[in-house]
Amino acid sequence: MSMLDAALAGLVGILHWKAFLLMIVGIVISSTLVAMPGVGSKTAIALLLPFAFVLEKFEAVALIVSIWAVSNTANSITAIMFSVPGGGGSQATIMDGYPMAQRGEAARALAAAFTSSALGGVFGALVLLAAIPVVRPLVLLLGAPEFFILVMMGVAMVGSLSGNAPLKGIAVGALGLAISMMGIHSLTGVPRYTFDSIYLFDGIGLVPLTIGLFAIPELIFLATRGKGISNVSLGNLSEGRMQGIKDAFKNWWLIIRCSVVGVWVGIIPGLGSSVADWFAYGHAMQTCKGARETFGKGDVRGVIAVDAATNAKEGGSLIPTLAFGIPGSSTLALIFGGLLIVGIKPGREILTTQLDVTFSIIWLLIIGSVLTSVLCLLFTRQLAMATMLRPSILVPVILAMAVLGSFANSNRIDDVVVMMGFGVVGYVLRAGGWPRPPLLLGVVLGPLAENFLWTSLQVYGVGFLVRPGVLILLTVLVITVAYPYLVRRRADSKARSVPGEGV
Amino acid sequence: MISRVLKSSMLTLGLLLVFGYVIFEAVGQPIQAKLFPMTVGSVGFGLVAIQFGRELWTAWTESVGGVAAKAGQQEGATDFAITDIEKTRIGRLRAAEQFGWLAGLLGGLFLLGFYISVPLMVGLYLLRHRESPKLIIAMTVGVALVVWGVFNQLLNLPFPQGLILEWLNL
Repeated sequence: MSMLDAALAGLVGILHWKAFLLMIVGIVISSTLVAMPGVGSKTAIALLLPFAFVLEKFEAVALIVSIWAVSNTANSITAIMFSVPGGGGSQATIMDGYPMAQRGEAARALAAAFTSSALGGVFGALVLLAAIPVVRPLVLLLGAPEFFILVMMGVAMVGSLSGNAPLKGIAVGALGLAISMMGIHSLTGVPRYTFDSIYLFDGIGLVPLTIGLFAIPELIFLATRGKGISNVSLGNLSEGRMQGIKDAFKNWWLIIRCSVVGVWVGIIPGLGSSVADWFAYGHAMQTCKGARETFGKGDVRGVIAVDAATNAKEGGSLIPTLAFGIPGSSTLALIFGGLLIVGIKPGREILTTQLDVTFSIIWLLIIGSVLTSVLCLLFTRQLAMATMLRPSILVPVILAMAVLGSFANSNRIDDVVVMMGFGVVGYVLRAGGWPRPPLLLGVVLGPLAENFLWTSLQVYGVGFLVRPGVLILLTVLVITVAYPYLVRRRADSKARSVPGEGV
Repeated sequence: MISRVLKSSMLTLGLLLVFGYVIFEAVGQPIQAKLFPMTVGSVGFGLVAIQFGRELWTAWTESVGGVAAKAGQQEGATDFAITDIEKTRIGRLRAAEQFGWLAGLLGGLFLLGFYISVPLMVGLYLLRHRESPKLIIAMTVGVALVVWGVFNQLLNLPFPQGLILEWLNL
């Protein structure tokens, strides 16, 4: 299939009424849920994954990807209006968005945020589009040994970067890999870690595991907080909207620069929205005229920079996910798992025989980004009202969905037990300061890693470890894992050498 | 000091045991089946052992110097760090209550099946939080309709009946 044919097939697939409708459903669900801190896009994807079982290829892609792709747009609502970050990517939005809202310019700030989100999202998708012809031949050059190292690199990088304790992160990633081994080994037929349970012969289901690991601890957080995030009056949310849109277009060059920052952060596995937003904010502060005096006091450019970057990031993060099969975050790992459920295999296949799916994702990013911004502009008040929902109403509904979604994995009540078990594991990990994302990544990538390792050994013997590609990747891996640790050690020793400053 | 370390490092020790078991179970298997478990188990065991060593070291320096060291303080928690309210007594009680609801729901699923347990849990949860009767009825009925309409009729999920209903032949 030529690239042009694939692009056309992807567009037609996404514009089919069923897929389009599911994309709208995904956008509405995502935008509503991210408006409530504690219920993120990850929980939403996990709860909706069971529906992917009964959907066609493009329909499933439309539903799963749209929930994730637009989750950084609506989370600006709580950040700007209530100074509560709706997700990792909206922390820096508060810096200037909230002071603007306090000045009575909430509508302007929101409109600027939504418009720059759309432009950033489209930019990210275009970069992904431009990357395909570049990475396609590269992917075809790589063999099993390189892919094995790439997969391990993904787990290690997410492990080392998803917290400030790389050791804990990588260990949790290894735990995920260990969990992925449960069940009948595909090559030998030997049952591994099944404890003589027939249920475990098929391994642990991705859906109950994810729901348990992420939705249950978040649910407990919601219940513990005991009240909604806001019950204040929403005020006028339409006056100043046009000005906000104009602000975004007037600062188009800032949007492009910050989108580049976002794409760059997205490409590196492990760095998430919470890094992209601060990088973009810092970049804007350093490069915008008079920013040092006005940023933090309600400068619209601060809002524009952050929202463009966090949305552009999504396109960038899909490059390693789709091309090399390295999801850079737990949410992407979940999408990766969802694509596997419907028979789409990221890596070599998605860039060759299933290129139309890749293009459908790009189209989805473009159409979804614009649609979400329009919907958010039109329904800001309704979305903001979601923040007023009390946890006592949300918790039982999400719990019910969690139970039903888990059961849908393989129509067995054991899945519900597994979900609850991983709920406890997730809560304990969270309480102990062990990051959960690497675990999910390990579970999703484990089977791939094992296959690549075995193929590498069969074809090249132990010598696969000294192939040039492997050595280069291993060097990158060591540098990436060791660098944050060394930087922190240097900072610690500096702080110790200057008494008083390190306190 | 030992009891304090053991208490704060329970999770680390647990993980150490898990990786130990991963290696132990893999030993007797054919090479294809044990290669990956041995590799992952060894790496995981090594990493967690180092972490445990660090925790011991931190506890020791704290007990000797009386200064709280950095290593144990919620490091690695940027995922979604536990909030201050969750650390309070009320927070812990509320968390325990949620686990109670989970356990109760699971028991209900075994005994009464999905059609009854799931809406019942929603209704009881709302009742426990003193929501208005109108809302309780509306949401309970709504959830019951979703269980039946979306999950049974649309997704064709064959929900088990529950032991009591089976026993009563209903």
